[in-house]
Amino acid sequence: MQALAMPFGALGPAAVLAMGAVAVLLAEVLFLRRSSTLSPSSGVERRARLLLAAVASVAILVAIGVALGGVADSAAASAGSPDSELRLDGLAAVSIALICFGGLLCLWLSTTYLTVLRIEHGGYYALLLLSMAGSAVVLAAENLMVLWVGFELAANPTHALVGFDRKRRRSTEAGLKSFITSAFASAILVYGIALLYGATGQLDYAALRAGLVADDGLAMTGLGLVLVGFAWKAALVPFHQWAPDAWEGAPTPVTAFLSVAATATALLTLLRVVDHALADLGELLRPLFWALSAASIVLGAAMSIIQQSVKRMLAWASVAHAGYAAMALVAATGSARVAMIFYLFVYVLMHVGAFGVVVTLAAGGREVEQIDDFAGLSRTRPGLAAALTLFLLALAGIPGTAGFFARLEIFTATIGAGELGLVAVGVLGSVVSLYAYLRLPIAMYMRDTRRQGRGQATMSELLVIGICAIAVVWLGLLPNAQLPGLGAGLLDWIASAVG
Amino acid sequence: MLSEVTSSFLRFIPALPLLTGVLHLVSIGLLRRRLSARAVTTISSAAHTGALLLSILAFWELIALDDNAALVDRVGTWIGVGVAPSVFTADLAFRFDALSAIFCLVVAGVGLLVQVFAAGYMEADQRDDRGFQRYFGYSDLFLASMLIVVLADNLVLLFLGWVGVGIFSYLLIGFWYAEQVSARAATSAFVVGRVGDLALVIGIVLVFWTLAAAGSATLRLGEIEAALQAFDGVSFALPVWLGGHPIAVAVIAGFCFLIAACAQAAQLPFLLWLPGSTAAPSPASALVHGACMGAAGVYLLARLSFLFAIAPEAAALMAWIGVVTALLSAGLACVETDIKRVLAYSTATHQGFMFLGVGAGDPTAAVHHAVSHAFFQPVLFMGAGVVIASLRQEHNLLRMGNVGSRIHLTRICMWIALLSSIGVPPFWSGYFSREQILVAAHDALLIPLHAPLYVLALVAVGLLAFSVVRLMYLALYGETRFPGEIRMRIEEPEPIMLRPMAILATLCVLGCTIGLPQAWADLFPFSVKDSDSIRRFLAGVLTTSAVEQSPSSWSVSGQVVGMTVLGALPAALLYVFRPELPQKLETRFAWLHGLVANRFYLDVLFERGIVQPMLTLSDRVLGRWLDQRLIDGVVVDGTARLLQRLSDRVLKHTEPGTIQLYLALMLVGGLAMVIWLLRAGGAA
Repeated sequence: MQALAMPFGALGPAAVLAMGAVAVLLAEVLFLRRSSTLSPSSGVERRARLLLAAVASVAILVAIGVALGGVADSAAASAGSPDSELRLDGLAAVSIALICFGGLLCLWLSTTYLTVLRIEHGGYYALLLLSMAGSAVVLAAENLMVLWVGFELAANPTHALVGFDRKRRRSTEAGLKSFITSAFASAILVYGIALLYGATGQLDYAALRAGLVADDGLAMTGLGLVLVGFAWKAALVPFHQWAPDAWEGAPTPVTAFLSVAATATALLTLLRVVDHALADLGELLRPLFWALSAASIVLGAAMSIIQQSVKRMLAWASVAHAGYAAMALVAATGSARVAMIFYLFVYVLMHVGAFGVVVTLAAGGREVEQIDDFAGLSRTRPGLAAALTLFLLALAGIPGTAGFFARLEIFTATIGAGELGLVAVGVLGSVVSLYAYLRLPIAMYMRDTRRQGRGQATMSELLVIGICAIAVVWLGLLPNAQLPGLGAGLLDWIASAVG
Repeated sequence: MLSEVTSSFLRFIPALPLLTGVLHLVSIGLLRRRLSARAVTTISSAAHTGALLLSILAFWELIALDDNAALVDRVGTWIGVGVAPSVFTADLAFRFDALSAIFCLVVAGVGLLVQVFAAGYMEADQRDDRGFQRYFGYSDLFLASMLIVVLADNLVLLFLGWVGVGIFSYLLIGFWYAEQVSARAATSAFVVGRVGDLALVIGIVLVFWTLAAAGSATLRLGEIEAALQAFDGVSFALPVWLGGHPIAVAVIAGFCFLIAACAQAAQLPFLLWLPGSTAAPSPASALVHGACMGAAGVYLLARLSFLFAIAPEAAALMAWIGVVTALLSAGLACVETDIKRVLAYSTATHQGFMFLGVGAGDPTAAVHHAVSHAFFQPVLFMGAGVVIASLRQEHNLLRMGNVGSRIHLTRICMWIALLSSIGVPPFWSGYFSREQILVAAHDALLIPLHAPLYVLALVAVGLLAFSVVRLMYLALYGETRFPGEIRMRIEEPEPIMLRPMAILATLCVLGCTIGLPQAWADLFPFSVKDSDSIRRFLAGVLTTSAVEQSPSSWSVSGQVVGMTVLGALPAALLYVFRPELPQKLETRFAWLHGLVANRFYLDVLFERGIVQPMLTLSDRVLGRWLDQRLIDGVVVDGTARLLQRLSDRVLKHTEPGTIQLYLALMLVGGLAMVIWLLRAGGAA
């Protein structure tokens, strides 16, 4: 597949993912046609399902390889000419690898869950891959039209995935809601792009950068609308309202995937657009990002407190984390970029890990998601309770976890840019969010058991939770220790790749 | 400048016990599945054996190198914070030079032996069903922290280990947390430890600032010494109302490190957490208070001896603190009736001698004494543990007596350790190290009023001898002062407990070879060359500022031996031959006994002066006011309550779930953004 990807140039990772999606669909047709007549636990069925997951995993791994191979070759080799619509530079490659890694974890989380909740039917893995292909396009885009197409490709499969559990009204409702608001946001985004084109006659980032002037009313209106679109995708306050509903209603592995596909993709793309197209407007945009970031941190932390549903609480946590990551846009320095990518990587680990525990607990046909459902979990499932506690502490940024160092890096970069006030908001938000997240460990460790979760966690779920937990602890103790595959510490590696 | 050789296995020395400690705690704390006692001891002792073997391997590599060389294992950048140019980085790196080598070998070796002893001891004594593995979890992590302290390449990593030592010693002291005494003692040890941590942080920050101002921002131990001239002439001025004199930064930093070391090694004014800490299980006492914790303090002082060489005021204070602590705690030990407290006081006395050694400008002698102390003191604590356990947790010396006849081998080990502790020449390791400290004190002309320093130290030597011999006779000899039916059940401990004691006792005897002064070696009928190996080994690492390097001085030797005999003989006389006499003396000199038995009212002072204010401070000011009122009340609870109220009344209504509202809010937000861009951009 790597060889197949070569002719696609900068579109390579997206092409691999799309081919993977087609392969999964074909395999499904060939091997799983009679799935409705077979019982879900029959051997044939199980093997076929395993095959689908394996094909999808291979596609994702190859896509990661293609993306990083581009960087290894040298930034220019597979990058295409400077004025092309897509460019697989270091930033794009690292971003795509991050998204694919997160998507892979979510995929492994899905396999058992879909069977247990009896919602396995056609196209799940293909949709997952297609959404990631969209992310791969949008993250390498150098042109606003390509960006918009990529966003649509990334977003539309997620609506289907959110509404995938058709038996549950919440899921269907969430899918519809996210689709409608997304359509609205896309319309605003494309309207903004149109206005920008009208004002400057340009769509390429580099050309836009030259053509944009701050006192051009038409261009500024267009820019504002484009930013609304981005803020909606990243669920930054006040464009976040779709997120809690969609996250709560979606099947839990999809919720985990949303944190990767929606939040991380949008923020990484925003980073790229700001860096490539809007760098000269830094002083103008800074207060905007400041307000978005601060509002997201405050409201995200505040709303976490009152949630009773763990999924909804984590959705609000995600809003707050998008705010923390957006601090890097305020700082807008080289070290801030590195800090943001590192932050999003850690964010994916923490969220996917936490959702992994929720997924693992999903009991026959019913989700375990209310905080009360977790009471006494430390006695019935001590390992899962410990892992979930770890992820929550990391989300709150407690020292010793990756969340702490991620936040430290981003605070340091922000202080370096002289934005002490925003850091103060961030610290306050951390304190408040700790209050919110600790309710769950308190329930797990200090209250009596209410109900039992599913009997046994499967290998793939344990693998995901284990990877996330080890990474969270490892990065929390040694954030920059040399990693065998990379030849450098993670932070140094990101810095050199993004360069 | 020290030459550095890269080595890649040093990291595993602290990592092995760290790993097993975490494993134990995860197993009981998170997974709630206990391992069997056998598995626990196997895992732990394998880790400690591994650490010891690696230490020995590193030691071999080190002595094959030049003098003054160091092995360095750099794992990676650990913390990198800050904005250029004042970037602060700390590596996760370990350093194995002569000083680290000595402490590392001692900590790993004695640690292994004590852990083996503990395997037997804790098996017999489990008051809480998870106690066994919990004990090994704590003590493995304690040893790992200790190894991090002595192997750290920079002060930040050292601080991390230092905090770990504090935390895990706290957990070990409060091991039987259900007992009020343990909990109380642990609290006071913890409070003192935090004072020390704070002082250490301030000291580290001062060093970093001074070096950064001079353009060489580093906290690596080797580089600090090389950049020491940065301290020249840098000083803070006192406030005018205090006279306005400038005080050199080196002195202030020295004071800070001294306070930290005092807290760790139970020196004045923190002396009195140590007797309380004997609430810990006996193997923990042997490990924490016998071998390690004071050694950490002495290690810090010896490591920074170059700093104290340019901060004579701090060094002088150190010497005085050491002597006064030694004297007071030796005096206290003479009337104490709790067997482990007597030993705790004698530990404080020995650590006082070590402080005296560093302060008087001869850190080598102090390091040597720390090594000797790590050999003999654990044996005494272990022996005391055996006695206490066989008498059903009886700590009171006055209700013991004649135990020794049932436990011969233990008694022999304890005698060897005792002779080493009180320093009976010539073959017991404790003698030479302490003699050299006293020689240094005798010659410490730089210290104001150094003559009383030496005399007071001699008195402490005598009192120490008296107190330990008294303990021996009260516990192991004389008439039986406990119920007879217990006596039948006293038996020699299991080999698993006896062997570590025997090995350590052997080391007490053999230990003298590492630091035999040349003057003594010349007395041998056969010729011994280069006898004082520890001094030569450490010569490149430690900064010795003692006036005269007289390896031994016969007049000092005579006085020390004389004082030892003067202390030991009356003890034998009083407690063996005239057992009724102590009682009479107590009534005759009731005022003196009362003064000493009440610990010179020092504990009142300690409680009211240090522990209570700290607790009050942390409780009222930090806890109740700052934390509860301000942070909890206003910031956290206030915010939380405000938000709760806000969310109940307002926020909840922002998530009604209707798309129309979402879209409307989105439009309003988008409009605001566009308007901002238009206005700020200058278009409207």
